[in-house]
Amino acid sequence: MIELRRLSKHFADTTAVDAIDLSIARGELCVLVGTSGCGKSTTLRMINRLIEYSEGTLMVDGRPIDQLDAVQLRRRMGYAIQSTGLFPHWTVAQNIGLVPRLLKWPKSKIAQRVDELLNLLNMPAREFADKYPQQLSGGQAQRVGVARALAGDPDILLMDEPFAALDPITRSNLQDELLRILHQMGKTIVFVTHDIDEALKLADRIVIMDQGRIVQQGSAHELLSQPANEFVSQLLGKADRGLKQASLRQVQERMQPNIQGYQSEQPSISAKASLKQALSAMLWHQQDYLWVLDHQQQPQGLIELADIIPTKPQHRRPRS
Amino acid sequence: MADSRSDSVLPLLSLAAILSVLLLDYGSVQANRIVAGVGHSLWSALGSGLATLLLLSLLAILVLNSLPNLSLLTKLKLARLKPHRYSKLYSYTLLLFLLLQMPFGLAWFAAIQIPESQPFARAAPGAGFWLLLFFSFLMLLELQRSTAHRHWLGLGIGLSTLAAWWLCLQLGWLDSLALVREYRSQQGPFKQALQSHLLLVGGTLLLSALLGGLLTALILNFRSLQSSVFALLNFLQTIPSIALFSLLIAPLSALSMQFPWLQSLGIRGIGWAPALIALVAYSLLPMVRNCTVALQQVSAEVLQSAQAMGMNRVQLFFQVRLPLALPVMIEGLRITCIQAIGLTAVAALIGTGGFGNFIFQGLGQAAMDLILLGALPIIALAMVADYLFSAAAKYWQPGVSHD
Repeated sequence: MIELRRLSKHFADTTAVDAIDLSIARGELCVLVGTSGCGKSTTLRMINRLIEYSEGTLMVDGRPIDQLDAVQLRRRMGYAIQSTGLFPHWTVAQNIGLVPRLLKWPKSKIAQRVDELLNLLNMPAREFADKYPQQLSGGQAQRVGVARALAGDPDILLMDEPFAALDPITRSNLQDELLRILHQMGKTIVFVTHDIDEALKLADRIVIMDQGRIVQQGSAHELLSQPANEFVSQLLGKADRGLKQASLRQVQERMQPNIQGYQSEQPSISAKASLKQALSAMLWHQQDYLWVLDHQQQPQGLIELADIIPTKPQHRRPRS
Repeated sequence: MADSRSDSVLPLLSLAAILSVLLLDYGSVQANRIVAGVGHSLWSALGSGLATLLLLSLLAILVLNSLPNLSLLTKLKLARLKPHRYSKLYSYTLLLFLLLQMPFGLAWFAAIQIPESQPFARAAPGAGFWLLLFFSFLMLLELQRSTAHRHWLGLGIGLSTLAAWWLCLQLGWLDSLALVREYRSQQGPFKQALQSHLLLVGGTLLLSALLGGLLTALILNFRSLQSSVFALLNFLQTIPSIALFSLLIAPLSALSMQFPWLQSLGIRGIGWAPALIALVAYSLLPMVRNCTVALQQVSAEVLQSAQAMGMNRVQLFFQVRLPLALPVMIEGLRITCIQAIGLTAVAALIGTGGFGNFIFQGLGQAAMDLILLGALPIIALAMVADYLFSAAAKYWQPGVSHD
C-alpha cells in the first residue's frame, strides 16, 4: 500500500533520511521508533507531502505520490500529532467535520459522522460537540485529534507521537482504544513514537531508525529475541528485555490444562494476562504457581514458574 | 475573590473625589465670554441640600468599600465588620445618582447663581466638577472590573447618564452654560467639524488598512523585507506631526501647480490631501506591526495540521489563519483609529477642518470654552472608538462561545 524505495531527504547541510526502503501492507500498523532526530517524523511527513522528498520513490497504492495532487492526497490520509493541532476557533464538531466538509459530504452525513466518531471515542456528542478545544482536557483533546484524523474515512492514518504528551494512565487508555477502533476498521497506519513500550504494545511491525537509516524492522518478538545490534538492544531496554518479552505472551499459551486440586481462595490469574503479570503475581504471593481462570472466572488450568521459565537441563544451576 | 490590593482602589477613588469637590471650585460664573470667572465652592454652587447629598453618597461609597480592609479590627475583636453582600449593588446605585445629578446640578447652579440682570453671564463647571466626573468614571470602571458578570450594569449607567445630559440640553436647562453657549453660536461649524473629522479618520483607516494589508502580505511572503519595512515605518513615526504636515505642503503644491487636474480633485499643498498622506504614514506602523505579528503568531502546528487535513492555500488563510489573527489585527485598527482621531486635531493647522479648529481658535482668543468645545468631542470620539474596537476584538476572540 505504501512503498518507500531508496527514499532520501536532504536539508541544507544534513541528511535527515538516508535512502530507506520500506513497504507497508494494507491494514498494517507500522511503528517507526527512534531517538529524536532519527528521521522518523520526516519520513512520516514525506508520505503526505508536508515535506517533499529529495531522492527516491514513494508510492501509495502503486502510484508515485509526486504525480498526485498534494491537497487531494492529504484528504485521503488522516493525520494526528502530539500537540493535536486542533483549531481553537472551531468547536469539537467543526474540527472533526473538517475533512468531510473539504470532501463536500452532505451536511446530514457530516453531522452523523461526527456523532458516530465522538461516541466511538467515548465522548458523548451531546456533551462535547459544541465545546471549544481549550475547554477540553489533554486526553479529550487528543481523542478529538484522532477523531478528526478518522473523520474522512481515510485508508491511511499517519500519527506523529499522538499520545506523547499525556499522562501514563490516559496514554494507556487511548492506546487500548486505538487498538480497539483499528481492529474494527482495518486502516493502514504509520505511527511515529520514541516510546519503545508504546511501539511494542501497538505495532504489527516495528521499524527502528537511527541517523536517517532503518536499523532493523520486524515484529516485537523478532526484535526482542534477535536485536540486530547494540543500538537496538539498548533501545529495547537491555535490563528489561526479559520482562518486555514476557509481557508479549499470554498465560494461556503456557498453562497446563490441569485443574485438579483447584481451590477458589488460592491465587489465580486471567488466561488473557501476560506472562509478565503472572510473574509479578507469583512474586507478590510468594508462590510458584497460579490457577488460570477464563473470563467467567472458571478454572482453566494451572501455570507454574517452570512453565514461564522452561529451562533446559544444561542451563540449570549446578548444585553442590 | 478580589485581592486586598484591589479592594483599596474604590475607597481611594472616592476619597480623592471627596477631597476634590471640597477643596476645589465646583463651578464658576463669568459676566461675559472674556472676563475671568468668579469661583463657587460646592456649597454655594449647589446649595447645602444637594451638596450634602452628594458628599454623603461619596462617603457611603468610601465606607461600603472600606469594610473588607478593616478586617484587622475584626481580628482584634474590636468590631465585627463584613462586606455587605449587596455592597457592590449599593455602590452602583450611588454612582448612578452621582452621575445622573451632574447635568441637573449644573442647571441648578446656573439657575441660582446667574443674576437675571446679566443675560450674557455664563456658568462653567469648575475643576471640582471635572474631577468628580473623572473619579466617578474611574469608580465605575473599577466596579465593572470586580463584578465582571454584571457587564450590562455599567453600560446601563453610562447610557442613562448620557440620556440625562441629553434631556437637560433639550429642555434648555443648560443654556446658560458657557460650553452650550459656544456650541449654540458655532452650531454650523460644529457639524462641519464633526463631518470632516470623521471623514478624515475614516479615510485614514480605510487607506491604511488597504496599504497595511498590502505591506503585510509583502512581509509575509518576503521575510527579508521585514526589517527594512519596519525601519522605515519606525522612522516615519518619529517625525513630529506638525513637521510632517508642513513638509508635505511644498511637494504637494508643486504637484498641483504642475498638474491642474489635481487641483480639481482638491489636492493642494494644504487641506485634506497632505493631512491624509501624513495620517496614513503614521497609521502604517501600528497597522502593519499588528497584522504581521497577528498572522505570524498563529501556531505552526495548527497551520501544519490544517495543511495536512487537505486545506488548500486559500482555505487555510481564510478559514484558519485570518480568523485566529483577527483579534490582534482589530487591536491594530483600534490603535490606528485612536491615533488618527488625535492627529486629525493637529491637522487643523493645515486647513483640514475638524475639531482641532475650535482648539486652535480658542487658544488664539484665550477662550477656554471654545477649546473645550473642540477637545471634549475628540475625547468622546476616542472613547467610543476604543469601546467599539475592544468589543469587536472580544467578539472575534477565537474559541469563546457568545451565549
